[in-house]
Amino acid sequence: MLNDDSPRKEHGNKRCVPLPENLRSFISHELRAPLACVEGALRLMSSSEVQLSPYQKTELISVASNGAQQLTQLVDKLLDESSWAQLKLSNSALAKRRNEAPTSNTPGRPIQPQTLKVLMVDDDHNYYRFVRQVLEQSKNPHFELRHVGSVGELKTEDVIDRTDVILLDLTLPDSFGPATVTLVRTMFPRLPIVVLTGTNDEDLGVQMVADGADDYLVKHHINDGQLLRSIQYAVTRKGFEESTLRLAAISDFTNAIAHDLTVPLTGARNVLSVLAGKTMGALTPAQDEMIRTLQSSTDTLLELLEKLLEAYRYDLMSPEIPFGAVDLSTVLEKAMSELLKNAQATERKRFIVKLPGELLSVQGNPDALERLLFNLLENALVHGDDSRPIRVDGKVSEAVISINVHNWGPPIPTEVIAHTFGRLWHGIPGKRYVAKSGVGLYLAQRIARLHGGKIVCQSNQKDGTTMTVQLPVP
Amino acid sequence: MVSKILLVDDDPGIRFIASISLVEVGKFEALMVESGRKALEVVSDFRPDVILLDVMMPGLDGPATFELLRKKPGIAQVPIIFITAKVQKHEVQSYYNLGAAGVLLKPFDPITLPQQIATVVQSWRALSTGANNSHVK
Repeated sequence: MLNDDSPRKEHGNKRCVPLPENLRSFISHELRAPLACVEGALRLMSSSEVQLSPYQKTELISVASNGAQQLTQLVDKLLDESSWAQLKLSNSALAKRRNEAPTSNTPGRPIQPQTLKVLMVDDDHNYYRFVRQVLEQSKNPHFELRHVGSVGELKTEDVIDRTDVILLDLTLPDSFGPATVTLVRTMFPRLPIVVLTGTNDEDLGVQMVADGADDYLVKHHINDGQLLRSIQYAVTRKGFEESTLRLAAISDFTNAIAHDLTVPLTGARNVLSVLAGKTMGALTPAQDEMIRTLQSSTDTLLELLEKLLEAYRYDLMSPEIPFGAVDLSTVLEKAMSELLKNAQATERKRFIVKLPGELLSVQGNPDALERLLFNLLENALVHGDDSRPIRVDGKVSEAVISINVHNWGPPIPTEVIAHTFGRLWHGIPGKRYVAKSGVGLYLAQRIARLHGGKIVCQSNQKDGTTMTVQLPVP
Repeated sequence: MVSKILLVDDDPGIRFIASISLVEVGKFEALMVESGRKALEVVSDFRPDVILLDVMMPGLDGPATFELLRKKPGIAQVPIIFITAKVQKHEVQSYYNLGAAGVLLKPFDPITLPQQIATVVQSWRALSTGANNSHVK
């Protein structure tokens, strides 16, 4: 089991949330074993240092093929929403076990709890009564105050599940001065700590924050409002910190996937091209067919991974993408040319584009909007009737700029339309509107929402299917 | 000099790739088994010069197999190399603490694997002789 002995790593004062154990195990073991098969088999087949018998060649292709198949299944698992729900569930269960703060702050969205559970560590009963009086006056949030008189008592108390914030006095019977902060921080890495000190020494205050306190207050110099605010801010800050660290951990995970899968798969694809080109020697028809199957599944895997990683990037980075004035006609042209760069002439001819003459300008991110339009065009190309045209047109009204992408594919039932924009939705088996990756339309809708707009879908037998992206006029 | 290798791995694909690597490239005499239990059965008769041991296996895992192999008469001094997909530093260290001669990572390069094994065994022997086997449990 990974990291069980170290609930979190310390790098100086920077605290890192470890990647959830099941994700680590998934990356390190489940992915690497089939990768080792694919890589190893291809390496042997492409090496001039070893003379392989026909039997060995066939077996190695079979080993590589099985490895690729396992990888496909693993990627399917990654794309399966229920697996992610499970991962998230185990993540939160893991967090609880690992001494984490109570989940009143949802990761990624710090929300002020209605009730804040305060644990005061102070042997001065008069001061405790003062704090109790102050906290009792507050209705929102409501405070629940508990009290212990020493650090030693913290060891026997059920602190983790019953505390949102610790109020810590520095002069205790069993601990004195700034060392108290270090000690309590070590015991409760994730809980916000507000220090109560008797001396108005700014340097000491700075030192205590460096030692792990979230705030410090000078006793007898604070008013009621300061005490309440300090407690609330400490909890909120901690929530943000946790969210940021968690996002960083998820980002690490996607990077790990990108590295662990994409790089060797690209290598495998190159080796397969060489083998398929027969420059390494003749292949029997059966070997040739297996290598082509392997090539096709490697390409599919790489395409799926690229889309998946892009979806995560937008999920994680969305608040940070830069906006500016964007001409939608130009973006559409770029998306179209990217989509059709390797297409046959017949596919190119299917597109009929008629945009209004006026400038289609919106506030947005050009790369993101190009991805949005690319996904809509690709969707029409894949699901449309390939003997009939795909029509792209636009309209500008007072408040909204719309671009319609219309195709003559089989109609999508009303009850299915809502699902087509869901993340990792894979369609209904046996129907033509089965999604390829379950990410494309989700991502397009996500980008539209980031721009203050949306994508709507209308579909019926008589009129065909139209995906309309609506963006606000700046 | 390494001439006989016992490889323990539950993945048939890995066993096949390793067998070509060890026999065709490394010119070793190699025996492949699929479990720790099987390794314990055959090790005394086969008497390998080095043992390659997968870490994550159903039933007896790598470290558990390691402990049992060490108790076998005549096997205590045979260098054992773990092969693992895991790359956590503290884990790698824990295998060395157990007494492993080395740790090789998956995916491994089948063309250079024999050379890597030879290098690990050479350093392990040099270290064992120098330290009078004091680091080996």
